[in-house]
Amino acid sequence: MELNITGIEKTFRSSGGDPAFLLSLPAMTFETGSIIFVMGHNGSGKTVTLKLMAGEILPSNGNVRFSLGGSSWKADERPSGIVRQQAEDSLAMDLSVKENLLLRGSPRSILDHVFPSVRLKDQIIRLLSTHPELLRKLEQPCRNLSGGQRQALAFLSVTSRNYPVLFLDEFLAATDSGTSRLLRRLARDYATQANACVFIVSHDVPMALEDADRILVLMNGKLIRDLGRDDPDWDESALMRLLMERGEESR
Amino acid sequence: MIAYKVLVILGDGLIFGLLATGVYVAFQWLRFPDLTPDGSFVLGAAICVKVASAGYPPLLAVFCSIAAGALTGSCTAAVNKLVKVPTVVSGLLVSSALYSITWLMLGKPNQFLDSPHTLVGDFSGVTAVIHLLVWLVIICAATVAGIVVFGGSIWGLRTRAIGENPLLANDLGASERQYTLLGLALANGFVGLSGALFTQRSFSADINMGVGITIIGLTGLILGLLIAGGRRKVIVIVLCIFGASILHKGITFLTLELGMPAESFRLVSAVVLLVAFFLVRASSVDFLKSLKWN
Amino acid sequence: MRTKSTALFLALCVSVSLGLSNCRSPKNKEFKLVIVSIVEIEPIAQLRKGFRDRFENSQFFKDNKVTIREENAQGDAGLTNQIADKIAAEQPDLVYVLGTPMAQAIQKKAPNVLLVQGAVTDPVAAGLANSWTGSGKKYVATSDLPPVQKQVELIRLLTPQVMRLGVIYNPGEVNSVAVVSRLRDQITKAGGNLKLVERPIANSGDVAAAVQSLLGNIDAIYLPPDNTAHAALPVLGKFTRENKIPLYATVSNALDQGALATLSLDFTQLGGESADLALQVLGGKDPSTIPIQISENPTVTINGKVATAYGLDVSGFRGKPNVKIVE
Repeated sequence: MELNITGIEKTFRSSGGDPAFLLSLPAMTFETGSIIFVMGHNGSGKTVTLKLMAGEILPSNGNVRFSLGGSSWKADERPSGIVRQQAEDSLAMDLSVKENLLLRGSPRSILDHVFPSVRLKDQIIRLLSTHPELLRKLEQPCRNLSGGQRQALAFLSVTSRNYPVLFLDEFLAATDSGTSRLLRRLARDYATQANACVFIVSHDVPMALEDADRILVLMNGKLIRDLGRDDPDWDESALMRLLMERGEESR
Repeated sequence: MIAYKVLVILGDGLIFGLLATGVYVAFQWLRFPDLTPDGSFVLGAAICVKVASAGYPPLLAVFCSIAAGALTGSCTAAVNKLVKVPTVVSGLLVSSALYSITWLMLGKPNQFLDSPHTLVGDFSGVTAVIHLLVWLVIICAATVAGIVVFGGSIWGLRTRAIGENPLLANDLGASERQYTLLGLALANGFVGLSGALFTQRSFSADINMGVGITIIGLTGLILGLLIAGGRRKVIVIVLCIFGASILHKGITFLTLELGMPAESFRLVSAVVLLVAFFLVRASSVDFLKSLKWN
Repeated sequence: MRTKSTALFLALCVSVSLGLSNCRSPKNKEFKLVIVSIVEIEPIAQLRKGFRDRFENSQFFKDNKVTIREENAQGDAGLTNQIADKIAAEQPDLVYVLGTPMAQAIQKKAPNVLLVQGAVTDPVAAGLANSWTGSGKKYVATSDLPPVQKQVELIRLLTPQVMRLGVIYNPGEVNSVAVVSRLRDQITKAGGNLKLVERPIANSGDVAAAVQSLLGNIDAIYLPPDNTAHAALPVLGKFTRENKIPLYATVSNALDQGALATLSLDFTQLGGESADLALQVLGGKDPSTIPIQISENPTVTINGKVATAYGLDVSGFRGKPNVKIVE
C-alpha cells in the first residue's frame, strides 16, 4: 500500500513580522512498511516537519492530509504516534510504568475503562515480555527509571497503539548502545508488523544508511534530496558531503 | 476529657484531609495552583447550612455542597482555559466572586446551623463527637475508595498524565481543556464536601471562614507528600495526606492548649508551613517547581 | 461647586455672627440642638430617651429657647455623610451623636461644633479623642466599654470557684482587643488567683473549635462585646450548656442562649450621664479637658434557671439594686 501526504507550507515570522523562516515541502508518496529518515543541518526544519505531520502545530495554509488505502485524515484529527527527543515528553513521570502503558492501552468495555489495571493487565505483560527490567519495575514511578529505560518505555507505550504513521524525533539521542540496538530493531519490527510508515529524525549518517529505506534531506526548509536505496549517492561520504556542504552554505 | 479532645482532633483532621485531598488533585494531578478553595469551601459550608436549615435531609445538603464545589471548580477551569486568565488569577477571581455569591445566598454574613439539622442530630457531648466521627470515617472511606478507583481508571490516568505533561493530550487524542475541567471540578467537589462537613462540627457558616483555607489544604498536602516520601501510588499518598492533616490539626490544637498568645496564632501556622516547605526543598518531592502559571 | 462654597461661606458668616452675639449671654438665647443617630436600634433609642429626659429637665433648658431636631442615618453610609454635611452647613450649638462612624464624619466636617457622643467604645482608637483623660477637641463622651472591674467582681461573687476564665474574641476587632486588654490589666491589678485563658477566632466558624479547646482548661467563659463571637452565640450557648460551664456576656439576648449572667449597661442611664456632660460644658467647662466617662452603673441580669441547674445560690443577689433575676 501507499501513504500519501499533501504538500506542507509553514511560515514563521520574526518579531518584526517579516517571514523569518519558510518551510515548503511537496506532496509525497511513501511505501507502507518502510523506514524514512529525515535529515538535515540544524535549523533545516526537520523537527517542524515532524510536528506538522503529527498535527501538533498547524500549517500556514490548508491542512496536512494523509491518505492510505481507502481512508484519508487530517494530521490534527487523529492521535498521532510520536516518540519525542526527550523521552520525558512522551511519558507522565509521576505515573508508574504500568499506568503509562495503560494510558495508551485499548480499553473496549466500560469495565476496561474503570479498572484498566486489572482488565488490561495481560496486554501489558505481553507488551513487556521482551523487557524484563521494565516488567520488574512495573509498579515504580517513571521518574525512578534510567534514561535508556525511559526511552524504551516511551517507544513501547507509543507503539502499543497501532498507528499507521509513527514519528521518532531523535529518539536515540540519550541511549546507550545496547538500548539503541534494541530500539532500532523494534522500530524495524514495528514498520513491518504494523505495516506502517516510520519517520525518524536523526543526525546519524551510518545508522540512516543501515536502517533507512529512504532518506529525505532538508535544507533551509526545502527538500533538496530524496534518496532511495538504489540512488548513486547512497553511501556514507556522499551523504556526509550533502549534509555538511549544504549546512555550511546555509550559515 | 483527653479522649474527647482526641476524638475532636481526629474529626477535624478527617475534614481537613478531604480539603487537602482536593488541593492534592489540583496541585499534584493537574499542577494547577488553584486558589478556588478559599471560595468553594465557604460555598460548600453555606449551601449545606442553607439546605439543611430549610428542613431537607442533611445528607442531601452535603451532596448539594459537593455539586456546588464541583461547579466552582469548572468555572475556574473555564476562566483559565477559555478566557486565558493565568491559573492563580482565575482561582482568585472565582473565589472573590464566590464571597459575594455566598453572602447574597445566605442573606447575611453568617448563619447558625441548629443541631437537629446536622448529620448527628440532637446528641451532645462525647456521644455527638463519636457519632460525627463515625459519619466522617464512612464518608472519608468512601471518598478515598472513590478517588483511588478514579485515579486508576482511564479517565483518571488521563487527568493525571495530561495535567503533568500537556503534550500527552495530543498523543492521546484527548482535550486538555476537558480534563482540566474534570480535574478542577473533582478537586473543588472535595473542597465543597469538606466545607459542608465542617459546618457539622462548627454549627455555622461564615462568609469569612474561607480566608487562608487553600494554605491549610496545601500544608496538609505537603506534609502528606513528605510522609509518603518517594511513593507515588494514589492510595498511599491520599492516606498520608489524611494522616498529615490529623497531625497538623493535632499540632494547632496543641499550640492552643499550651496557651499561646492570641495574636501569634497565625504566625505558628505560617511557621509550620515554612518548615514544611523547607523540608520539601531538601527532599525529592518538590513538585512546586513544575506548577503551571498560565 | 460654587453653590457648595457659597453655602459654606454663608454658614461661616452665620456661625461667626451667632458666636459673637451669643457670647457669654446665659439667658434666653436661641439654642439649636441636633440629635443624630446612625441607626434605629434599642440601645440607641434608650440613650436618646435618657439624654432628652435629663436635658429637658435641666435649668439650662428652662432658661433658653431650645429647639431640638432629630436625624437618623438608617445605617446608610451615604446618608451618614449627607447628615454630616448638613450639620457643617447649619453649625448648631450642640450635636448629640449616637454611633461612632457618624461621630467621626461630623467631627471631620464640622470640628467647631460641640459634639457629645452617647456611647463610644474606644474614642482614642477611633481618633475622636486624643486621650481618655481629655479629648483635646470640642468632644465629650460617655463610653459603653464594659466595666471590667464590676465584671470580675460579679464572677467572684456568683461563681467563687472559678479560677480560670476563658475569653473568646476576634483579635481583629478593635473593641474586643480594648476590652480584653483592660480585663487582663484588671485581673493582674486585682491580684488573686483568677487566670485568663484566651482563644483567638477569625470568624464565627472558629468558635466551636475554640470552645472545644477551652474545655478542661477553664471554669467559666466570658464573652466580650465581640461581633464575630456574638454571631456564633448559639454555638457557644450549646457547648457551655452541654458542659455546664458558666457563660458571662454583655448583651441580654445571651441569656436566651443559656448564658448564666450578663453585665449590661443601662443605656437610658448612660444617655442621662452624657446629658450631664453636655450641661457641664454649657455651664462653662472646657470640653477638651473633660475625661471620657465610663458608666459605673451596669445592670446585672442573672439567668435563674441556669443558676439552679448549675447548683449556684443566687439568694444573695435578690433585691439588690441594678440586679435582675430572670427565670
